[in-house]
Amino acid sequence: MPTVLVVDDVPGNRRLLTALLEPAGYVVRTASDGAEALQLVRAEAPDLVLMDVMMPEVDGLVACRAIKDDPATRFIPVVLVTSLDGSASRIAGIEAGADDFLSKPFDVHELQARVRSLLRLKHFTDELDSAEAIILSLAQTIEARDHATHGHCQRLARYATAMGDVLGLDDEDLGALARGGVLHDVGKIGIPDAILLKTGRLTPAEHDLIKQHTIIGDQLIGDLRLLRRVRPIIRNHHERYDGSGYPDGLRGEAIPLLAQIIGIVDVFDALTTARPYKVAQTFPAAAEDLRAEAARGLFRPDLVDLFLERVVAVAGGAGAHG
Amino acid sequence: MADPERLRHDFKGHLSIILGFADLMLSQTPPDDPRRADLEEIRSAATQALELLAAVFPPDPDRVP
Repeated sequence: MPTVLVVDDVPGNRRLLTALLEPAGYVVRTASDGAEALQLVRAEAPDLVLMDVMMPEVDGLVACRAIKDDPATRFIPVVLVTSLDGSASRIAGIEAGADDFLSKPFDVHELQARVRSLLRLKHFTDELDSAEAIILSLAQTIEARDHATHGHCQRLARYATAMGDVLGLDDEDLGALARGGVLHDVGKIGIPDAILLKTGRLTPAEHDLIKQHTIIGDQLIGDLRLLRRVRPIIRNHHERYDGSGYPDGLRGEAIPLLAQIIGIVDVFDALTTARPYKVAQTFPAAAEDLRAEAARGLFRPDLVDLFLERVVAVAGGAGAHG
Repeated sequence: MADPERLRHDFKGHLSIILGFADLMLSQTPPDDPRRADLEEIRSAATQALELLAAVFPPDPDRVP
């Protein structure tokens, strides 16, 4: 059953909305001001918020903006309830990110129709979220197929977000790096085990097939709106600064920054992890190799330096991984 | 003296509660129930009060809460 959060400083209004919504099959929670509403929104993630605009302390506009600014809650529809009729108050509401408005006194049928239509919309966004969850489990499947890479995705997500933090990237980019770390190789789902797990040397044809994982991954998440910032990471994390990478042979800053970051941390983690055909390098040895690759033109040297000095040196002086 | 717009907002809020509950109770009362007439009186008075309110405090279209 969908949960509706009713926010109003007047108890009679909270009771009235509860009495109108509960018989329609909704679970109703109530809050008496904006601050309490924000706590409940974060703790319980309701499916819809019905909120009075004029409230003491944190008013409806401020609370609405806070809900819409937080990536974790921004897809929760917010209906502002007001007894002001002016267009200026509606504009202020739209600017605060409100999805709809209701005027007091409200018509029961209008109230129920709006609640129904916004909940339908919320349901679609939730489905998008579940689509992302499915892709994530695909990524975990790949890690499970290849024991050598155990923990690789989580470490990448950790390194990459730490690096994004040092670079001062915004929350959406940091989120994309976290997801990108986990999802970057999701296209390997389309690569046969015989090739993916082969311990001997790959033939040129097999190597070409492995390269396809960037394109397969790109197609796999192609239409997922929530993963749009992750897409360039999946497609371009094997590009190299001098244009020698794949699949597009991008050069220099034509390679998306997030993909460059994942590219660097991916190589570093591969160097410091044991594989069937090689032992794990120590952090200082891997750092030296990575700097050498940057000097050869494969990576942006300043990004490599930043990663080694500000991320690896701080987070992981512990040595190589198992 | 309190802000007139605030007064109008609060007044309208209270009338809306009266009207809302009257509507709700009407929807739950059978057609032949003698209390319907009483509920209709509450409803009618609240509606007229809302109209009076609009005449006493005309809405300010530029008001931002």
